Amino acid sequence: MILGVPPALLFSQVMLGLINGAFYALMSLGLAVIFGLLNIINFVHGALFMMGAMLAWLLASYVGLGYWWALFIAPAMVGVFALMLERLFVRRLHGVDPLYGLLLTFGLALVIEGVFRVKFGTQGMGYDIPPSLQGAFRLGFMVLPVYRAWVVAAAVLLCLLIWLAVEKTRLGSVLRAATENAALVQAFGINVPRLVTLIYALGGALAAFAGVLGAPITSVDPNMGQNIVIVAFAVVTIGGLGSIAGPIVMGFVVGLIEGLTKVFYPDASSVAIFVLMILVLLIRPAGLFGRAA
Amino acid sequence: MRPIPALIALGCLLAGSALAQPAPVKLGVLEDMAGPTSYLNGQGSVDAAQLAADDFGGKVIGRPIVVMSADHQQKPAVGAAIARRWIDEQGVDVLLDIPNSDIALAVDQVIAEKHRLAIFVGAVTDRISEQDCNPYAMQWGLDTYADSQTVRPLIKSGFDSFFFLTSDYVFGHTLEDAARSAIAAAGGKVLGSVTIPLETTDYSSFLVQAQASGAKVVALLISGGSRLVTAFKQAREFGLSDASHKVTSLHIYTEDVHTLGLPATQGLEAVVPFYWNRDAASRAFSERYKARFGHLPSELHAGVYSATLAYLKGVEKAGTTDAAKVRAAMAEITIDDVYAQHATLLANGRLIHDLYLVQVKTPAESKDPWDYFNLVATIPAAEAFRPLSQSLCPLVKH
Repeated sequence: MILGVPPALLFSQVMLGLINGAFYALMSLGLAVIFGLLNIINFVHGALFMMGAMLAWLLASYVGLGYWWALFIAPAMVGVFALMLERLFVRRLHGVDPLYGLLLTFGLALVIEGVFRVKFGTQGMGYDIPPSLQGAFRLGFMVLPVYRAWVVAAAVLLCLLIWLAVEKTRLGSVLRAATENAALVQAFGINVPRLVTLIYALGGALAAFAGVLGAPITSVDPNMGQNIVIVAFAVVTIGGLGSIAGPIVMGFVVGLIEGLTKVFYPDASSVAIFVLMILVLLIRPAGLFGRAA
Repeated sequence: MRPIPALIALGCLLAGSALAQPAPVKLGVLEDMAGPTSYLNGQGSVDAAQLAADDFGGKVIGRPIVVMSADHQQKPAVGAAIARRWIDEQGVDVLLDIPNSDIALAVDQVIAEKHRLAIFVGAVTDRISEQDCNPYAMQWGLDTYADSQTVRPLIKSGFDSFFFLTSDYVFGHTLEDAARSAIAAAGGKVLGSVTIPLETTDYSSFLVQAQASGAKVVALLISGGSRLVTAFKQAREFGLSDASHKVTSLHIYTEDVHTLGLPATQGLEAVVPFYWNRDAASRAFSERYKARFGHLPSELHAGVYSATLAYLKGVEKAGTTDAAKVRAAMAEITIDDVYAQHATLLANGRLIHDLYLVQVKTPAESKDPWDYFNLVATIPAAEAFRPLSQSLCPLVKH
């Protein structure tokens, strides 16, 4: 027994915490990229997550395209949609207080979710785990569903790729330079507005990718993005605004802390993240990985 | 024309038109219009009330019937505020449905204070007709006591140890209490339980705890809707049910079986008050509802239809909309419709009626779309609900 809990149960909870953390990391990363590079508090992220999952369901039920197709097509479609959002709306708030962007994207999220509710109702849509990923590994101390293992693998790989792209490539350095001083970068002949649109679309696609990953294991319905977007924001805040590694690492840490709260004090499991956020804000207002403004 | 006679003439005209248009009888259907349970009640319940009003002829005691609706957004404060506004400013005569137990209890206080009737269909906490009963509240739908009757057939077939995953609000806690006493009475045992915050989107940690307990039955005491669907999906993912282990929710809606699919839900047993494909009468009603509104009625929609009809019959018998007189009349009329069979309205406001033990069909057994349940047994009204002799309601004299 460890702290009154059988070790097998504790290990399995650590594992599950890390798996959920993978989701948080993926969601938060998109938010962090959009905030860090574009200075937009992108509240529409949850709605884009929902669109990813709903598109996966639509593709399966109306077009007959399965999970693996959806994993590429849905993010691409949502990416194009995000691109239009940026061109039509978000762009117009460039240079004003980020709070306006928050209001705008919050409103957009309400509209998008409303449209989906009217069209499809709030009843969850059936979406199953693809046959190739069904089943479970028996690890001795726990049953690990194959699908969850895949989610972690996919999320870790994607997070790593994005981190490398932003921190280590030439494109990444251009991006970071553009956020520091857009006018100067533009003077070097780089089309900054186009870059901004592209990043916004990529962030949206990332949310949709997480949506497709989540579709087989959560209820697919128009409201599904509402909770996760709040958690993702908390993770970004804890990790530090403007940092790329921060939200990735903190996504996993937050998942872990939440998982352990579920064993030791389940009643508090949904507030644990926010308690952590308050503590971090009190001690390090810029977040654990953030650069002080 | 001189001004004064003209005014008198105008006054007469207005009075005449007022006489021709008597004040309507107003029914207020208070709903979750867009939240996680809105596909079980929501607009469908408003439609059901309208259907009942139309079936009744659109008029009662010579006054037109008006069906109003509002969205409580799953917030008790919003629900109670709407109830007050409806009663104080709009003269609503009866409040209907009111899903979500927290909100139902808030509205229950408002109507007790304002002496106005409410018929609860979607709220399942039995406190409405027990500890918190009052002369104006009636409870039409299933309650936690009735739901917990599902454990008896489980224990009989050898599934006699339980672990609860309990939603942390009135619904979850009252259902767990009721289930615990039903399990004890039937000779089963409870191996543990865990309280789950309402905002939870991932149940895996809790499911693994349940699995580790070794209980034969993991009962998901999570209100119907997208949350329950998620929990069921994840229970299946973690392989919680096999030959000797079951996952159940004590209550299952046809709509959730539809979402989860028969392979995931086959064999599940539950007590339901209404199932569209139960008999010729329920099928005829459901087809009629579907033809007008585009979907089959849920058990809650049928319940709102029944409650609305009974209220209108009560008004007709009482000859007035006075709350106390209508309530007295409703205890005297015969309530027997597509939803409530062999029904009696008890002194604590509880409508008892026959319930049905159903089992989810296997994919091979299901012949038509939405053909999901086998009828296992009819539970007579007197056994289905808490007997009056055990009532905790102060209105009941023992």
